[in-house]
Amino acid sequence: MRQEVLRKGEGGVWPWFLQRITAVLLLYGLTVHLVVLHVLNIGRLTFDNIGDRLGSGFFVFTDFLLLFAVVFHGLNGVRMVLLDYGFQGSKRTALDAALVVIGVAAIAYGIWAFWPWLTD
Amino acid sequence: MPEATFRIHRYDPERDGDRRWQEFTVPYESSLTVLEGLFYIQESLDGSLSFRYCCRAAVCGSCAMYINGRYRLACQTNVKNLEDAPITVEPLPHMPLVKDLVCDMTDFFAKYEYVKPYIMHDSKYPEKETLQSPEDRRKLDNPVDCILCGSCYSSCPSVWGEDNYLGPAALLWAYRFEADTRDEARKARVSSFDNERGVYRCHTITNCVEACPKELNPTEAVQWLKGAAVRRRIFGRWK
Amino acid sequence: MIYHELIIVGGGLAGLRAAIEAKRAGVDVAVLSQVYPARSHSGAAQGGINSALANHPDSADDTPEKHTFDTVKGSDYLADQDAAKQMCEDAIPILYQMEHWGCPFSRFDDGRIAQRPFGGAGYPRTCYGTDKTGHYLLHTCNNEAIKAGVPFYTEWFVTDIVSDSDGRACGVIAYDMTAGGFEGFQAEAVVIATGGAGRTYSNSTNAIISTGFGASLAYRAGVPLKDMEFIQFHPTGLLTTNILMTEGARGEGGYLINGEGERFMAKYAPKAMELAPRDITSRSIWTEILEGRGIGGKQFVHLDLRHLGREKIMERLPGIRDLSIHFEGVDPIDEPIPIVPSQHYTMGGIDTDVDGRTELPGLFAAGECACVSVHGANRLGGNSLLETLVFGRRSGAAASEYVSGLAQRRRGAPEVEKALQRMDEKLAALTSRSDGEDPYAIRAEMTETMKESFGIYREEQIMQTGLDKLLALNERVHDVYLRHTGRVFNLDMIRTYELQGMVEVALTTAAGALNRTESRGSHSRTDYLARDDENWLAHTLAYREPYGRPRLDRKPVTLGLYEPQERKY
Ligand SMILES: Cc1cc2nc3c(=O)[nH]c(=O)nc-3n(C[C@H](O)[C@H](O)[C@H](O)COP(=O)(O)OP(=O)(O)OC[C@H]3O[C@@H](n4cnc5c(N)ncnc54)[C@H](O)[C@@H]3O)c2cc1C
Ligand code: HEM
Ligand code: SF4
Ligand code: FES
Repeated sequence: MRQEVLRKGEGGVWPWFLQRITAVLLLYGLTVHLVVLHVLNIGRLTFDNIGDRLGSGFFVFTDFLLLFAVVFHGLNGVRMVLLDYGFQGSKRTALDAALVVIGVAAIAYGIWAFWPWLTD
Repeated sequence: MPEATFRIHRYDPERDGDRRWQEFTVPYESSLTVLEGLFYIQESLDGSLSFRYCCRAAVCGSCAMYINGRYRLACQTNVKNLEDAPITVEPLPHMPLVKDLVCDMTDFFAKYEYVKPYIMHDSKYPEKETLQSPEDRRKLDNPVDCILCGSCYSSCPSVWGEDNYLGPAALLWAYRFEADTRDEARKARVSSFDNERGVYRCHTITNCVEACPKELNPTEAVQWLKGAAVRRRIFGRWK
Repeated sequence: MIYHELIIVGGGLAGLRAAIEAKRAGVDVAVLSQVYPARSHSGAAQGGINSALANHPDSADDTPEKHTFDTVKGSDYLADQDAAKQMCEDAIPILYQMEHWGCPFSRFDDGRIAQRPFGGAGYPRTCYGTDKTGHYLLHTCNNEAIKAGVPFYTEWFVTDIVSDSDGRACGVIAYDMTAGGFEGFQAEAVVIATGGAGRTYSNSTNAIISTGFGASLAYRAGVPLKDMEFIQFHPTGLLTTNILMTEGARGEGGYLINGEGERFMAKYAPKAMELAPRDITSRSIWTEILEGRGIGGKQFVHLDLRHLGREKIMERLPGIRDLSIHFEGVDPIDEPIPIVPSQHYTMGGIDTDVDGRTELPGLFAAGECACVSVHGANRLGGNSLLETLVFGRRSGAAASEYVSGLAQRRRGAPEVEKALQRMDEKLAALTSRSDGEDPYAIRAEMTETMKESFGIYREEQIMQTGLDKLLALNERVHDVYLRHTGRVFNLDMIRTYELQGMVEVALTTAAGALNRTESRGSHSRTDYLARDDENWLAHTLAYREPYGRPRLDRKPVTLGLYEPQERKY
């Protein structure tokens, strides 16, 4: 290959950076999740207790963060893997579109699932 | 006299073009490097053997090969220190072949040259040297020792999967100049590697770190470049 | 046929520096090299490069004049003093230029380029980048050449220099190793920068490709080789491999110790001790060995760094430690390193002036393959990296000027064509033979002969026998046969072809050494112990005579600054 033939890639910095940011958020979210559910909550698993927790501001914040982070991190991760396998040009546009659709759907589903406790 | 058995990868594009293995026995006195063994074979057993050589002192990067399942410099590898017999000698894996143990390094060097591996400096130079503190100089310790042997490049799965990925060595050199306090390049160099066929193609697999016979760390350099790219965008800091 | 205005043969420091100069002067230049330029042997240089920058606390009043004096004295007064002066003056700007081009020199705390003491120098003026100075400089020039847009023909092995009917160099023939085939290059001028001839000896510190073959190209083209009898033996090569342990190791305070545990240099150079010039230090070690005071009575002594301590070794000499561990199995932090004087440098070479011009118009030479002469009978450590850059630059500039001044261009195409044909015929002759002399046996005999007969100490009878052997080898080398006739990356062919040039170069060393009936610098005769300025303050010129002994001539040494004195250190 001569240098002139070398094709330059584009972009990449924000997906890379956000993957890291969301990874940190995941660390935070999953820690809270594990500590609260598997350490503090042992023996307190009643419908009301869980409902109260899910409705409190702190958990609303954490759960939504986790929702956004996990969806972005997971899908962006899949995207990174697929891009490495030659998804370029129009295939890449299609991939991006598909992932956005999946992402939006996943988040919408998440919001729908939380909805009853938010409106309580 | 002790003997060492070499199992050598052969390939001759002018013959059948098949890849095959051939065994040779090399006698030696007290010590024998793999490169010396190859010379013995070429001189006394089979004149058709091809391999690269130059310094025989681990500084020029010519003789990087895959020896007993590891990346090594043939000139620096003493057969005494190799456990398995026979000694298996292959060219750098995943590279196009020229002949026997010689692989085609054209892409490797093209990518190296692509990252503009030189100081760019617009402002006027001082009359004497540009000053640089020993600490700032120390930031270059890692990359300036690179001998462009190609081991890291050959070992990187991201390179295997994408012809246009610049690879660890080129990016290590990009870092070498980005981190140099004397360099004033802005977009000129950054644009070559700050993209998906540059640093973002690296998934910190660290094969390169393990492969490097000079014990350098290209992965760390790539991560630094990614971090610098974010810092540049958020804080507008080029250095 | 490929055309470039200027062809540079060799991508070491000298070749690259010449190419950059020419490219920036607007000349269409290309570098042909047997290896990727950054793999050249210059990269093996460890200790440093001399320049009177006066950065070191102990060298505040150092000047280019003092550097010149040390160089001339070190050369045992055989250096041309105008050339030495030129080099030492150019040393200052060229060092700053290397720094501006990004060379990662080590630094003093105040941020200036670090310097260390080196043998034969009155001041610590050797600028360094740890113990990998050559590697750093070579990469710097390689990269600057990329920046300048110099095209590299990598892994092209030059086999011939072509002159046209007017007696001007007009091109080269080269073997494209990876594609497999010969090609003619037409050019207005050619610069040879192919490095030293260390590998004509069996005990050399040099890279395997430092064969002197490049110098033989000029020699065959009718240009004389100058002062080839002056071969430097470096005091400290690793015992088993002759890999170099830099003089910097002694510059940083390392000791030389004999079998009786003494710092024996006290006997030979009480003031300079381990930092006496290389010829003196090597002879001292060799004398110790010959008189039975090697380690355990054997043929080596110790380089002891242990008292420097781990920290200093790790910071200033990390490469030395690595080499010593990998190649000798000795960690200098814990054990002394076994060393033996080894062939190291070719002071002589293609006869040139200070601008690299040779007797053949259009042919220039620079670097270790050339002899300007700045090293005379003994080179000072740190002066040859300097030489490559200074005279590389100068020859690049002079060649550009020469090219620009030419009235007629693109002459000599028929000659290049013919030379290419001759090459094919020659190759056909080599490959058609299925039996004959074994080139590697000849190579081994030649390198052993050089080591035994033209080593540190020389003597009439031994040299005569050696010369006769070489003359016989020079006959036999034309009856060799190739075991491999393929075209791609054919080492058998390259190394055989190379050998024919090596024997001729070795003959110039041998003939010159036998002829020079005195001891001067590295040329040390047991039958003529003294320097003889009356008869021998002169350069030797060796001209090629077909098939055999070179014709020797002399050329006066340019004095003018310093009168020859006895050398004491
Ligand atoms: C181990 C070691 C350490 C040293 N340390 C120091 C030091 O500390 N300080 C110092 O000042 N000096 C040192 N020297 C000496 C110095 O390094 C050399 O003299 C100098 O680097 C020579 O440079 P060069 O450009 O002339 O040749 P080289 O660097 O040898 O380059 C020769 C070039 O010519 C090419 N070539 C040769 N033949 C052909 C052909 N037929 N066709 C095509 N290309 C060809 C090669 O590929 C190569 O690119 C050291 C030398 C050695 C051996
Ligand atoms: C503790 C939690 C987690 C951390 C710290 C974390 C960290 C990271 C980091 C740093 C990367 C980037 C790698 C690169 O740049 O190549 C990454 C990639 C990825 N992550 Fe996570 N992650 C976490 C959880 C998850 C979860 C829960 C999923 C699944 C939903 C996931 C799926 C992915 C995928 C598919 C990739 C892409 C793989 C690749 O690039 O090679 N991660 N992760
Ligand atoms: S980083 Fe290491 S492995 Fe990669 S080219 Fe440089 S020396 Fe070789
Ligand atoms: S021959 Fe130079 S690194 Fe091995």
